[in-house]
Amino acid sequence: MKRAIETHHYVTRLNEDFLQCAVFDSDGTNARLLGVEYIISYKIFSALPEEERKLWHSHLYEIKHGLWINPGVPEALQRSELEKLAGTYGKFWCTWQSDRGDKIPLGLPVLMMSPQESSPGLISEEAIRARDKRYDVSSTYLAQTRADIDVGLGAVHPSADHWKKNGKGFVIELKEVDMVKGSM
Amino acid sequence: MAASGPGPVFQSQDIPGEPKKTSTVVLEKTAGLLQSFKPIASIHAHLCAFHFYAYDLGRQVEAHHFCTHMSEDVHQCLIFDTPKKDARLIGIEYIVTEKVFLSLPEDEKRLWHSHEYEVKSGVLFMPGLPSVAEKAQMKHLAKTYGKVFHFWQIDKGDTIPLGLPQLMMALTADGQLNPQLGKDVEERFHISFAENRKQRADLEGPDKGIHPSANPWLQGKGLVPEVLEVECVRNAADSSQTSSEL
Repeated sequence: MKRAIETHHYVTRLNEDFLQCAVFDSDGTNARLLGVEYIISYKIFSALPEEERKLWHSHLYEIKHGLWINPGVPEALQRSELEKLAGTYGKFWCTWQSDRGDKIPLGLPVLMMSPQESSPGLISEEAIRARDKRYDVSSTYLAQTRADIDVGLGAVHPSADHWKKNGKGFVIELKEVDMVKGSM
Repeated sequence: MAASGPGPVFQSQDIPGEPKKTSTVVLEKTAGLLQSFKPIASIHAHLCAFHFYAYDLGRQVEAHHFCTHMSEDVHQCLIFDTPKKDARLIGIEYIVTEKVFLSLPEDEKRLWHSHEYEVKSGVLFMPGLPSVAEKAQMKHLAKTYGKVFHFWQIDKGDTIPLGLPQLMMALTADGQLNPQLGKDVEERFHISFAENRKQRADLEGPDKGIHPSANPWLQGKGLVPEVLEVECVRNAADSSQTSSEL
């Protein structure tokens, strides 16, 4: 979790409660496809089995603190969408760890977490400032204007952001089994 | 919902949740006009093929790839269940040339599959393009290797993406493709795998032959994902640490 990355999500909303995102490492023509994130409403999240919920992260913190921006869209225009998204939960599998210098995607998908108010969920000031400069925004200002976003639930669902409970994250491994209907 | 056979039997209406409100649609269109979508605009090719789970040849999925050429050696693809507007994003595939594949460590190679059979048999095709027009791309693809993960097990009837990422594999010989699934795709896209096969008879696979470490399932080795809990590596006490320090 020490490695935080800037991600660019290209989002399709399939209905009021579900979105899917292709995630890239930049917004340019040569951006690398880093992975996929799915976003669901509180309604869907709370109906999931507990074991599934552990894989999802909350979005409230990063939206309220201006870490999440929709480049080019005026804040007033996107406010209603941000209010909806602030109450959602995401599951993000990263398949290309380009931040550690991988020239091609190596290894297995990694489960990603969202920024939060405590370590290891903190994002460095330097990274935020660089991002703000590039997009001509002020996360400080956005945090002020978004301070009153209220998702009406009181708090983030306790089953999300599992690492906060015991400081542990999840890693994927592959187990070898006999192939079903397989070997030629 | 039980899986009731091959083909895209699950429609997006099955995703739980309320349909999009008009106000949402209007907002999306307006905001969309203000933004640029360069990484998406870089997508230049649509391929249709079949994937199966790396531990079960019987669970086969029609996979629509929307691909971008990163370089001569690397492609990246978004995988959808259909080519329609409300398609579900079910996975990702990366495609590399033989040169890149051969440079991979051994334990990485086993995550990859070859493309020679899919191309030469005609079951991998580019919807909307006549065989003659897609030939050049097929010639290149036949020599490549792919690594694909699916995140949404639609064949199981999952209405949202549940569980762990699934390593997938691709067909390597006649007799593996579910005949009903194949026929269904041929009918829906008005194509003939047999005709494609004829057109591609002169194409060749990797120069050095298919590497034995790819397609590990051929040796009877299925690969199933598991999740382990590990200690998080924490940020340093100094919160100004940048993300480039590992």
